[in-house]
Amino acid sequence: MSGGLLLFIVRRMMIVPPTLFVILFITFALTQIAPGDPVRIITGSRAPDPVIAERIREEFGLNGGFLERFGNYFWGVVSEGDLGPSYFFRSPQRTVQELLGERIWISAQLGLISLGLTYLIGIPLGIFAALKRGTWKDPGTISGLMVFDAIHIIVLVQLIIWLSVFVLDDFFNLFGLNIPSLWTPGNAASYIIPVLVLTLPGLAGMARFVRVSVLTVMDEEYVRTARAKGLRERTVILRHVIRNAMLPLATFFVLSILTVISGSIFVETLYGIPGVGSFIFRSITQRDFNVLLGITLLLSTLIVVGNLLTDILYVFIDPRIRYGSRGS
Amino acid sequence: MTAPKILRTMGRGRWLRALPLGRPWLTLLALLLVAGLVAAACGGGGDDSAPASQSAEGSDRGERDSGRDDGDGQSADQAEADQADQSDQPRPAAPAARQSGVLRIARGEPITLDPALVTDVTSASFVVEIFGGLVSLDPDLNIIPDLAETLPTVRNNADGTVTYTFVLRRDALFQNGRRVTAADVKWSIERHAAPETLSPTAIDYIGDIVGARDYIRNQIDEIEGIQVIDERTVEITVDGPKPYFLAKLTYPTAFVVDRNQVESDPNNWTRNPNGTGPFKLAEWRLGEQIVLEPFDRYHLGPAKLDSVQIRFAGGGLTQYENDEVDIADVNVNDIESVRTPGTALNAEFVSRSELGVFYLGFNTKQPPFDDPRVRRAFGHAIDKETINTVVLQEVLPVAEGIIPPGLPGFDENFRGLSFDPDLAVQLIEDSNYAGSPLLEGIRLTISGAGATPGPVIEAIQQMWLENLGIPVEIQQVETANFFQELDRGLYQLFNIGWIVDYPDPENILDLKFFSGSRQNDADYTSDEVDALLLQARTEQDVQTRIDLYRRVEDILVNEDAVWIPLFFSQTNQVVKPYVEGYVPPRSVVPILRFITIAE
Repeated sequence: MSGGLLLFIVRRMMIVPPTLFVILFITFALTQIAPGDPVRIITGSRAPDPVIAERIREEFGLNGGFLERFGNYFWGVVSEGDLGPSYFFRSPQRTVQELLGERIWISAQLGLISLGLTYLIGIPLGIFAALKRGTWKDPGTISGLMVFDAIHIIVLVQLIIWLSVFVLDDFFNLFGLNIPSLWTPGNAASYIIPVLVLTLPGLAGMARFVRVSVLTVMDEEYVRTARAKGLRERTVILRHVIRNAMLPLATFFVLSILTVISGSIFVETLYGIPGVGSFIFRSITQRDFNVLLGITLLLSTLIVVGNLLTDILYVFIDPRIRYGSRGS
Repeated sequence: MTAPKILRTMGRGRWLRALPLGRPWLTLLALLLVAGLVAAACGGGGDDSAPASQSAEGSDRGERDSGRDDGDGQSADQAEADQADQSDQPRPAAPAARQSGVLRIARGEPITLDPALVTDVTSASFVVEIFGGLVSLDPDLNIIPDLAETLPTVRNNADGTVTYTFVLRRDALFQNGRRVTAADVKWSIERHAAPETLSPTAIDYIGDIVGARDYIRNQIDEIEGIQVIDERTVEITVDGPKPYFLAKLTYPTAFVVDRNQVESDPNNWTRNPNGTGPFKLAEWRLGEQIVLEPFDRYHLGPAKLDSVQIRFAGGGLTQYENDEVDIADVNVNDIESVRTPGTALNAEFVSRSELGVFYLGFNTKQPPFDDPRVRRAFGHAIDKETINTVVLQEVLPVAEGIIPPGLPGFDENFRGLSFDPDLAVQLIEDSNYAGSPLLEGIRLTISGAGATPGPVIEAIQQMWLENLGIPVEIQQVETANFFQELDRGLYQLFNIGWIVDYPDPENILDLKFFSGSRQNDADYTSDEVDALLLQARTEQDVQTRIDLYRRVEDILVNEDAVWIPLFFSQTNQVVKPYVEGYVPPRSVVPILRFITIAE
């Protein structure tokens, strides 16, 4: 197996650079045909002197043919890892790396915390629902969670802000928490609202996934065998059912990490969180193309590499999957 | 004070999207205008903006003014946060968790702190606190000496030029302790104007100085109109008697910067700027906040605050009521709770007019609006008073004319086109386009990306339909394209705002209506108006000059109907009772040093 696997990994890795190149090329092309001139945006509502506008355009490298500009950009990225300057934040000059650095960290923190909570809360609830199949507790649990999934996240943010800042503030004060109505630098209580908003809608999906998975396993013959040989129900559930039911989640995990790192545009924007999500939106409205290209490159690298890891993980988790020579 | 800004748009765009993002006092407007916010919020999703950014442009402008752009951007950030502000839940006074001596406010993130590059309101509001120039504006927009000891002496030269002589204060210092000299003044202005600095505003603000235009276009090595006489004396010669020139020197393009610092790190010196203003940049956390601390040897008297925390998101009533900010903007959704007499919020409510106007503009070269009768008909068909009482709850003063209150030349007795549906119909019938298919399919373009254009624009659309029988389509265009397409004259009818940069009617009437001005968005040409504007440029008698501008305004509004002024901009805010010495500024002026926090 190891030879085939190695070949498989190498082959998959060789696809990564061309994939990223194509993504970058398409995104770059899109920025060229997008309406709106970055120069006009930085000079404001006031129409710029044409001579000055031309000079700014030159400085940003906005002159020249499409291929020439793409070539310059691509060479900068490949040779020096230089994603170029922001068009918008000009003095102090901010590189794309600088603008994104802190933001990725904040988005990732929020994303990982809420992802962890989704697993921690969603899995037990899903198991609970599965074990209570046939009673009101099963649909009760799942539909209770579905409520959060059904409310649009924009409304959910407002609702949770209102609840935690104005209705339940005395409750939170008991624990010494004064939850701000907006993200506040240096205040750890700022995490509460975004984490709630990012976690709650995902619980239903997680619980349902786990529930189905557990139910499937419970119908397996080896579970019947375990029961038949007289194991206690608790042992059957813990040892045989849950362990096997959790396997599909492992692969799910890699991809969900990636999606949370990209941040939630809505939550970050509405709660004033300086993360990647809110910045994507802002950069689009400002036509800050270098920033957009940088974000795209970053996220697509994560996704491409994440997919690769997932494929590899599958091989270890499910021995039935084989990647080898095509004919086998 | 930023470029005469078009009021910049908020990222979220409802009408007057053109509001300065991020600039708290203007953001308010943005919010107001965004009265449709709740509805739109749900549809609009997460815009953030900006910048700030534009509004005056900025917001966003990024804000370009505004815009904020934008914004914008503008801009943008405020908007986002304010969306969370729809709770009007009265709150019991929470325990004040604030530190004494620290003022907490919210506005958008500046896109630059370089006085030469700033064009948006948000960035300008930081620049005016950190830097300073020869002269400055006080909160009532009077021109006052800053680095100069007194206002300059003025000498008319034989060749028609005018020389201003400034003597610097002996105690004027950079924040690192170095004394400001006349050479610093000359070097700074030349640096801002230098072609390689790429300042978008230098040509407009210092182009009147003798030699400056050639210098900006890289044809000469020095601006000969700026002469260093001795260490403390500098003479600035202007190419003609221009009563508004001194006001232009209050704009950041004339601010003094530290030559050593700029030359040692041309792109990044603003990370730790060494200005001459009342506040030093103490901290800048990207995307989160800026902290300013007083410069304790400031020549006009050091600020009394310990520090100012400026967050880049929020600023709305929810935060204010939760004691997270000390000053907040009040949007139209909240105006009722603030207006209820006897409440704490009502006692803390302040409003003040700003030097801006929101208007409908016509492209005077495109049919059917190349006929002034059609333009006037559209004006006579709008009932601004009803919009004001019903839709806006009187949060904005109705604009009869173009010159806003507070600007010299404002006349409270001025009357624009009256609401007169019969006359409006008559004018259409008398026009060249009576019964013409060109009256169908008229399109009103606004800057924005919201689900609805907002109640004001919808009301106007409805009035045109009812009173003229003319259906008008509303097109929303993202801020990023709006100004560009407006420059190109692509819109036959548009809605935007304009805030002046310095308190002189020249900054709106000449800039927006002189034939061939780059800012003439109506593409308007009139020999009569041009002649009056030219005369006003150099008219030395104050009253005669004002009368000239009033005549221009009358032609523009009542005869040629180039713009339909809708509302003047106004700041509506709540201010905590312990914040003393604060008045909402009418434009971007240094304000923080006057504030104290009562114990």
